[in-house]
Amino acid sequence: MTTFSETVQNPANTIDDALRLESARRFVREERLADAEALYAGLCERRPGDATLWIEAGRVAESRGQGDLAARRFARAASADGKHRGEATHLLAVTHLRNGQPHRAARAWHRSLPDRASAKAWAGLLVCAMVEGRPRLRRRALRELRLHTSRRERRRMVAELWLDAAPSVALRDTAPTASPLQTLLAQTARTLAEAAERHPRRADVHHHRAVCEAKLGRVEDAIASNRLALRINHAYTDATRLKLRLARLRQAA
Amino acid sequence: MNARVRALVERARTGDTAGVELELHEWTRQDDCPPAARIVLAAMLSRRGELDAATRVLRFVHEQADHDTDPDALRTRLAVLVGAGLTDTARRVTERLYRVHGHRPGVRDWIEAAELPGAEKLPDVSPAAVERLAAELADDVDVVRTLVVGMKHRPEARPATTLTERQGHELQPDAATRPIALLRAAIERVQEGCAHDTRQYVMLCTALAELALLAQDESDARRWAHRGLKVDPYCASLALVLASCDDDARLGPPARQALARVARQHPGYPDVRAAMIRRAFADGRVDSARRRLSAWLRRDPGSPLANQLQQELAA
Repeated sequence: MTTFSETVQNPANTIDDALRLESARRFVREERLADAEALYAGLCERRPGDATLWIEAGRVAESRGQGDLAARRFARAASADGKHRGEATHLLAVTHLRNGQPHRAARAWHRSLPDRASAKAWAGLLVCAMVEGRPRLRRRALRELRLHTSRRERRRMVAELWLDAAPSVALRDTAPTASPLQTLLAQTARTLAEAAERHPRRADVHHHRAVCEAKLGRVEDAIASNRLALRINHAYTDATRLKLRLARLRQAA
Repeated sequence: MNARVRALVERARTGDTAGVELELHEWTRQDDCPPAARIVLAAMLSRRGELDAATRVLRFVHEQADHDTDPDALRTRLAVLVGAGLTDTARRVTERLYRVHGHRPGVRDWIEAAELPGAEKLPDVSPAAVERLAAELADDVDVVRTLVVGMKHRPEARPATTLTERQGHELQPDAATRPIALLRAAIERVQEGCAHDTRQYVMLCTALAELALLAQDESDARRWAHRGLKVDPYCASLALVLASCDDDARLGPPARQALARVARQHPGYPDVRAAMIRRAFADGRVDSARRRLSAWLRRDPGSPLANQLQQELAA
């Protein structure tokens, strides 16, 4: 006996496309996804310029767990006509996110940004930025999202998209947690380097910069900074002690 | 283990969702199931609207000890809870995520961005970060002085706030106040174990008083300054902190007494002398301030600080 799917795939059959589409939609409602897929595949082939068809076909592929196929169909929908570009691009980006490809998702959402009021796109970019560890994009997306949404909306959107990003989150390499002391020392070394430029005659600034550099393992830089401190104040006890310690460290190295 | 999760994600992407889900269900019943597999399964279930099932898959996080929890599993659980509208549970999980993993990169940013329930009540610095820094400082207490000097030279320092107090403004990950708040909390923790060492105790009191001043927390600055001066009445740095605060007779003697005592002990400290003159002037003892300044200028007419002070008082 011939199945319905085989019937609709036969170009010689007499069912017109309107009827096929109606049947496909009924199959989706009845969760007969394989039959719906067979109809949509044929319809998309015959009417490649119809964005609605590509979107519906993409949704069927997505529901059947065919992420790659769904992404291809949403991409076709986005390029088919301008009217559906926003919706198709968002669906494409979400599919990339679900497929564990946050970089592709971010690119898709970026493309829909000429519509700056697109809260969905900013929420998507925010989630991609957090998954990929991109702080500047995160700050910008959060700022824009706050302009267009209430707190409740933002919370719901981010939670929903975070679940879409779960495969990317689960598979990413976890960055090692930096030592808080080393982080503070690195920040302090930068601050004191700037301070040393503003106050070149302050021995304490040079000395404490040397302490930071020594703790960060930059012995030669530490020696140079401490030398400046002692040049300004020969009687600087702490700097003299550090000089001896640094000399020992250099010898040991 | 991650390779197996990766392969399952790949299979799910190319059409075998049902098979992958079955395999993940099977895996979650085994002891070796990693958090990553549970995260993927919970996401698949919640996408289908089965939020209860997703919550059950992630319930293991609830049963684990804090140090065993996985931050990503906690975040996924939070996303499911928010989706299910379970605000109270979400609030508790948010607090736990911040308390245990707040020091990890991205966790704080995630809580801010997701605007989770209870985020506005979380402290500015994570207890986990404080614990870690305190443990590192306890092995190297002397570095505290350098860190405080660094903080003093930071461009701007404002009082510590809660996470979302500055709602509507851009929250910088390295806001000026956060390192100060972190350092204050960690030093307080270190100081609890240093009471027997007078030198370290006074140095940490000084650090806490100076950081409190930077954070515009005058009452805390005064409290630490008086505590330190009780142990070392001649500590110039503490007297200088006290000179920047209003007097409080309940905590200790007025700033001018502390400054006078330090000035007698260290007559060569120009900053102490200058603070003493400024304080006398601020307290309304203008004649006394002018007399001291004149005496200073007679002894050392080229002193830049004395000349600066003369201009200040004239103005």
